[in-house]
Amino acid sequence: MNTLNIEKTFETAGVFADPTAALVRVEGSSFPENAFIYFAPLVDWIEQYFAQGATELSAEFRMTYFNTASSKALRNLVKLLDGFYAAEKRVRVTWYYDPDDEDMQDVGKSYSLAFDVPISVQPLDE
Amino acid sequence: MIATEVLRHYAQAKTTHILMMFKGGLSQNIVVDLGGLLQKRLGFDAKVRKMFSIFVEMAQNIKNYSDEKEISNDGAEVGVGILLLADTGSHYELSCGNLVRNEKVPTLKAQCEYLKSLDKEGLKAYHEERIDSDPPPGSKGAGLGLIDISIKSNANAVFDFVRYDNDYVFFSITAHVSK
Repeated sequence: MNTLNIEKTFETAGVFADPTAALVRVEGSSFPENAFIYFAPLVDWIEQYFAQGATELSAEFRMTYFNTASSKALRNLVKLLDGFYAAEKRVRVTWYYDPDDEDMQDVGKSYSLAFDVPISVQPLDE
Repeated sequence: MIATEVLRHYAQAKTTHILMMFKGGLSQNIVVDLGGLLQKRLGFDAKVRKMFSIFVEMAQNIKNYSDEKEISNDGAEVGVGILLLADTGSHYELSCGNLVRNEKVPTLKAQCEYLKSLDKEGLKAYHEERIDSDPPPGSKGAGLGLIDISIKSNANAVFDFVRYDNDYVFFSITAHVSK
């Protein structure tokens, strides 16, 4: 299983997935032309990772800003993780937000209401 | 353009406190560059991010849904419209406008009227309902742009339609974000 490492840009999030650390991280801003295509490699990675027998994964989201198309793509990612959690995998999600950014905190809260996978909504350190 | 005309544009921009204005085809590259300009001018704290998110939704709405089209430099067909950002002192004021073909107006109007009937909590609930549904037919993104603009402007976004010519209506949105 390979490591996925996509550098962040002004309009696209950094995506990091490490099978050894059992860790996925998404960070930065996201308003690409097509958010579903942009996040597709990470969706594929997660599916393959569990298909190859992995039992555990931590997912960290450290988003500064994203547009509505990306909000749907990110929510689909959490839904995917929720599915593996329902299939008895040890999955947890941490959603970080800037303490000044109520909107970003609300997104994390709405995920924890909508899904069963444990989601910790955490303020970023200054 | 002669100096008096330039002065007229200058004076109008000054009295309406315009920080930024763009009229033309909105390719993804232009949206990104306008966003960069906006951040260079105003930074990127939480208030600016709220405004920025409305700005991007407005820009991508024009890009995807304006019925006035042009071919951008990279060869893609993009929507044409106008984007305005003003600083009223207490608020950022964002406006956008673009042409919509007459036959699409009733559906769009109904959508806007529904959004106007909801308060902020109602808008958030509607957003939760929509985000897990398939996007509406003809949508090129998540179909959530107008809902997001309404939420981020505290349920005070103004949607307006004025006749343009026999075939088109000019659709405009104005939203305020406190500074």
